[in-house]
Amino acid sequence: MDKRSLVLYLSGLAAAGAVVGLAASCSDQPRMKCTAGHGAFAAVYTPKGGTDCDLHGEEIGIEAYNESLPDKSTLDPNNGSLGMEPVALAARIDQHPPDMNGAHSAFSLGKWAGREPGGDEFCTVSNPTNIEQNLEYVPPGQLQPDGGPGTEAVPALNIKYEWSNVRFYNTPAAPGTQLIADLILTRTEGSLDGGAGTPCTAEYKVVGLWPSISCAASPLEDGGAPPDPLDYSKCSPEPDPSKNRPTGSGIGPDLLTRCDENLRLCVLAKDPPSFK
Amino acid sequence: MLKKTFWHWVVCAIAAALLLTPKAALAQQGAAVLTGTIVDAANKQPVADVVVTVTSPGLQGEQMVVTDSSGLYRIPALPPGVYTLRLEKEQYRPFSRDGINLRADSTIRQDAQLLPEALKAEEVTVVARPPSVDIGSSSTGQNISQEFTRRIPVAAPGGKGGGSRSFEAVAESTPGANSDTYGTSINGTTSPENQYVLDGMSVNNPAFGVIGTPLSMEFIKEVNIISGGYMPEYGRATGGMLNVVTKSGSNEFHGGVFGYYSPGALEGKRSLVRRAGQTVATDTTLGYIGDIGADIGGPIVKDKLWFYVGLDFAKTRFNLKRSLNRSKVLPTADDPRALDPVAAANGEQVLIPGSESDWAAESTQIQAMGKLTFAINQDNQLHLAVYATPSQSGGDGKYGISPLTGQPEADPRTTAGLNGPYGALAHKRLGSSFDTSLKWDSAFDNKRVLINTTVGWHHETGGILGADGSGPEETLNPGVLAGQSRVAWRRTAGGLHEIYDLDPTPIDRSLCDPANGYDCPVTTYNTGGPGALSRQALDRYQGRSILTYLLQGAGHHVIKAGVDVEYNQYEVTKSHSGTAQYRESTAGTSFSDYRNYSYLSGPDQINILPFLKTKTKSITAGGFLQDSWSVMDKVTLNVGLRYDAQFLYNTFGERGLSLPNQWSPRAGVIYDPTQSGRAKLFANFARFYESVPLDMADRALSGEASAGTSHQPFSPTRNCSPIVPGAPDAGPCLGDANRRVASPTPPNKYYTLLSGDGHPTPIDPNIKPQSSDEIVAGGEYEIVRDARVGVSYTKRWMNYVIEDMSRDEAATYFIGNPGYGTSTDFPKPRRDYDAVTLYFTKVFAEDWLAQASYTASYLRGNYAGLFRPETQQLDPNINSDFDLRSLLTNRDGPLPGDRTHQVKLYGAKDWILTPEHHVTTGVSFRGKSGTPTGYFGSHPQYGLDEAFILPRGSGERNPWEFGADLALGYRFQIDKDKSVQATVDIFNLFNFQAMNLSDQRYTASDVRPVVGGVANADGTITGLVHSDDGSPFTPAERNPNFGRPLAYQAPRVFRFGLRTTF
Repeated sequence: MDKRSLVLYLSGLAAAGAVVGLAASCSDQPRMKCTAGHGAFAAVYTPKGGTDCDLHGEEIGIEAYNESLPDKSTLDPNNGSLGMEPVALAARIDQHPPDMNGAHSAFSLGKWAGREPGGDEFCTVSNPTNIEQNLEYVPPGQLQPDGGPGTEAVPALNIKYEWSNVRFYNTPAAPGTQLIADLILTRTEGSLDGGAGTPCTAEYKVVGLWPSISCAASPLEDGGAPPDPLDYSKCSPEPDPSKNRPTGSGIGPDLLTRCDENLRLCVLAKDPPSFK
Repeated sequence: MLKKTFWHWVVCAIAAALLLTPKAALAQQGAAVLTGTIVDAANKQPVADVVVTVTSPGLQGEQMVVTDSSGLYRIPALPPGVYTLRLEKEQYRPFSRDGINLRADSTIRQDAQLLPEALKAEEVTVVARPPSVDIGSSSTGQNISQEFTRRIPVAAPGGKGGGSRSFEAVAESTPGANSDTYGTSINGTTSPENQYVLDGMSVNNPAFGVIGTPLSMEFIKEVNIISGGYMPEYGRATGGMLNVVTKSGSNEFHGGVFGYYSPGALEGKRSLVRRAGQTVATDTTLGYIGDIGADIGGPIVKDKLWFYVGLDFAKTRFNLKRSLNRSKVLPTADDPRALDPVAAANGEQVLIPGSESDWAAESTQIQAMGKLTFAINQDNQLHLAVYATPSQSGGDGKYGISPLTGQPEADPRTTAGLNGPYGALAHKRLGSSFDTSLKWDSAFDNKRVLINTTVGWHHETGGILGADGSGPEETLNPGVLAGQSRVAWRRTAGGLHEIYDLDPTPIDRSLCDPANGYDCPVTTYNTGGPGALSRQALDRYQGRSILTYLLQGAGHHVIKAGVDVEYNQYEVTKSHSGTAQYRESTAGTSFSDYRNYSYLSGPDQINILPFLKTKTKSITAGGFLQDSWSVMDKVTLNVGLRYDAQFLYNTFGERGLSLPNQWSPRAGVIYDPTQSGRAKLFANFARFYESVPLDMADRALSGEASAGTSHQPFSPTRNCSPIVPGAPDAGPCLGDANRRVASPTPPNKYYTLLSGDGHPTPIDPNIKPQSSDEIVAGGEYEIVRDARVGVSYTKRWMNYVIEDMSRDEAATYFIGNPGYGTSTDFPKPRRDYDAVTLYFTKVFAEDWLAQASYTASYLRGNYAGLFRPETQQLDPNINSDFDLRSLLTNRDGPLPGDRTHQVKLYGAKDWILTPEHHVTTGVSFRGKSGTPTGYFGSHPQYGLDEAFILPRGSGERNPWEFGADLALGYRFQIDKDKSVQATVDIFNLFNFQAMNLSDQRYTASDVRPVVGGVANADGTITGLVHSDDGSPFTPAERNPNFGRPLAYQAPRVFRFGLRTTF
């Protein structure tokens, strides 16, 4: 090798070194994809003035879905959507004949507006569809042959959820566990004798926490009053074997939570991001 | 010795003031360096411009340099071997010295004094002997040459790599090294943390870090196992470096034909493993292990172009005898099938007549390599090499042998034996590697400047297929095994299944009637297809170039700078046979989707993938700068810095993880009190960074979507009922009407996601690369020619570890550093290793060699390494160690690799009866204290053996393990180079049968760890309660086989060998 080759080689070595140095410049970690906890969120409905239609909140079943890649080989993590269906509504639908109106849906679905959280770490669901169900009155069943009681009547229910500004907070430490949204709810609950009922419309701010954990000291039976005492320690992410909790609640340990006396569920103590 | 005839020759007092010269780090990986200073015998002044020439049988041509103004010469890039040194200069008598033994990666100093022609010395004193202490480095470890492996019984048949006698199998002879499930553990680390380097090229499996090219020792000139203290030119490993130099051709034709055979018929008696309550027993014995091969090397054009080729064909067979054995019962008021605890403690079982069947596991491996060496001129050499190691096992009525562990599919460490039909348990396994490398060694300015450039390609393919050869892509074809779902049966409520519920072997059922005093329960049983299938292709493209520069200034410097770039790729097709595996509920009333690849694209819109195909990549770029500086020629300082950056990309082509800023400082000091290359004192500090294998990019950074549902049983007569064996039919059984989700999650009615959304696992933005630090210190002294004694101390500890974690009990996961960043609520990883080694090494010379070492070590912590020895889980950086906070209790203690005492003795001597007749003898003795054991229970989410009921290491240690091996040979020496040799190696001569694996499963029930608890004298544990409701643990739930053997030492085996060399 002559001197000229050596100089060339040294230049090459230096260039390679520079490339290695440059590599360090993309040292940031990739951003996570938009997602949401799967299962029930404990959601508090705060009325924006006016009536609250006697609804303080409820459990909302939520699932993040993904479209397939164009070649159908697997899911596309950059093309996802979010589904929402209140847990109580899902249970109620099972008690009625199905709503045959093809335009109605028991759940809301909307695509993520972006594949990654925005600068404020929130992921927004764009144009979530409305939930609308017209559930017919179910009359009481016949008496049993042995004289036992028949099935109870189920009142008619016309209900509509109009969602907007549905946003989930997403960081690696707290991925998709906090929800904030606006909701217009219109509900007409019939009576046990088949009466139509009176429509009620309310506008809420919705704040949800995942997973939904009960903070009732003991489970309420038949939803009955008087209310059992509350036990905020059930929300704790720390285990407490002395209270028969070998593991933590599953709520993110950084989250600031409280026990809601109406829902008897652990909920966020403030609007997301609700951190300690 | 006085030799008057040489009086006009030289007064050659060799030896001399040592450490006057640059101690060098090696020019290229695996190569040796010969250095020294030449002084005038009369005035002791350095002599410049002496022509220094070295020759060796292993060297193509000769290498020549001239000394500089300080009398220094340095010949780098020498292949290991025995060398002759010649010194010539006008006005001086020529000087020659032979028998200089250069080991791979070593720097040997050979000083000399030249006698002026004018000087009329009366006599010549030859006190010279070539020093054998590597005075250039502070690294610890061992060189293993063919002189060693051909004489000492190593690479026992039946172990990993034993069939073809692969190089990693012999690494265990290194002080501080131990075999683990996937290879050889070095200094308390796990085998996937090692860097396996073949002729300068990394041959680790790009996905799992284990060895990718298990090349046979037959083609290897020398293996240098560097256990610690290495310089910045070595990196990307937190374990050891296994640096292999393969054979090359030279100006003489050399080669050989060889064959080895280990017959199963001569195997020593094995202790049988019998376990109460486990009706299916599988006894493995050796069928045979054999290989046959040949190699040859020589010149194509003398002094210009040389070749070397080698070929080996190996076959391994294990016999698997399956039998059904009934267990004695002692009915209690609650349980008429309760096992008799006394019989259980004695491993007492009774063979059911007519239940035995014979099976076999077989593998075939071919090894081939070829190399061309081209000397363009004195200063430029090109090496082109190819290596291939295709292997295949299983299928066609045979069980497979795992290429990762070398064990047949009935391996007791990971399975419950042959607890199912052939089609459900057997696999055809493929595992092949192909490597090619091109190396250019260039030197100029009197070898003062060296450039070594290597480009290489490592390619591996692998596969786990159905026993009929059906692949992971065929899950929708019901006509092949890959198209049939596997069902795992595991009922506990209402009593375990009886063997005849599930197994078609015709037996007399009354033998299993508890009323007759015996029962035939099965805890787990598999039916249907072969379960998890895969097909892989892995590639590594790499290039590195190292510049070496010799410099004078306040002593001598050897400065090296290099760049090192590699691109790794892992393409894998994964599936579950029949698209899904099903599992019976413990209640025995339903079964659920246990494993599948699927995702939801809308409420209950399930997409079940016939297979999941991913392709992940990583790029690692780095460089280093180091100086080996002999300060004022008294002390050598090795200082340097290495930088690496690794970037991993997921299957969607997105960057999934960035690991830049891997700054590895290394600093060492070496002092030679003898000043003559015969002793050294050394100390070294080093930081090592892990190269993250791609399994993590595949499984975590790309996501592994899976959705599942439970299935209500039909009536007992329907095929899909879990009570009736047989694959669930895909019709009504799997229809929506038969689905049941324990707690439906609207908007889904039928499905729940088993592994989250299938997205790439989020990364802690503050994540740091995984690293460990090391301090080594010691001393070495040459007591007689070619023999050294030494002592070394090694301390290693972990800094950051990369793992996946969930802070909310498996609700969400992320990847970070436990104990740091987002994960400060996790314990910091700990793996503290302290070891002192005393050793004696005598390389093969004067017809004998010996090696002895004693290591006392201490390994404590909560992190074993890149695999989990307790469960054999091999998912580097995403093992279950830190997954959940509820898993973390009692995890700190003696780690599974903790061996307090280890003694290794090796010796060989050739007995030359006549010049033609030689007898060779070799012995090996190893003793090591047993490993710690624990008390494991089931974790409600993570399952069996994941809960540490008592602090790690609370169990009784396994007993000491001893091994004594003997090698005997007879060699007929036809002439200097031609010989015929017959050998017999006897492994485990005394057929020691110590238990080396015990059952650590205290219970299969979900229980809560007892913080800081201890076991009572009667084996009970105070305060042990069930996970779910805190109710007390009942003695009946205790595993009757707890603490009893799962495996014993491999028995005595003979290996016969025949070899001709020319």
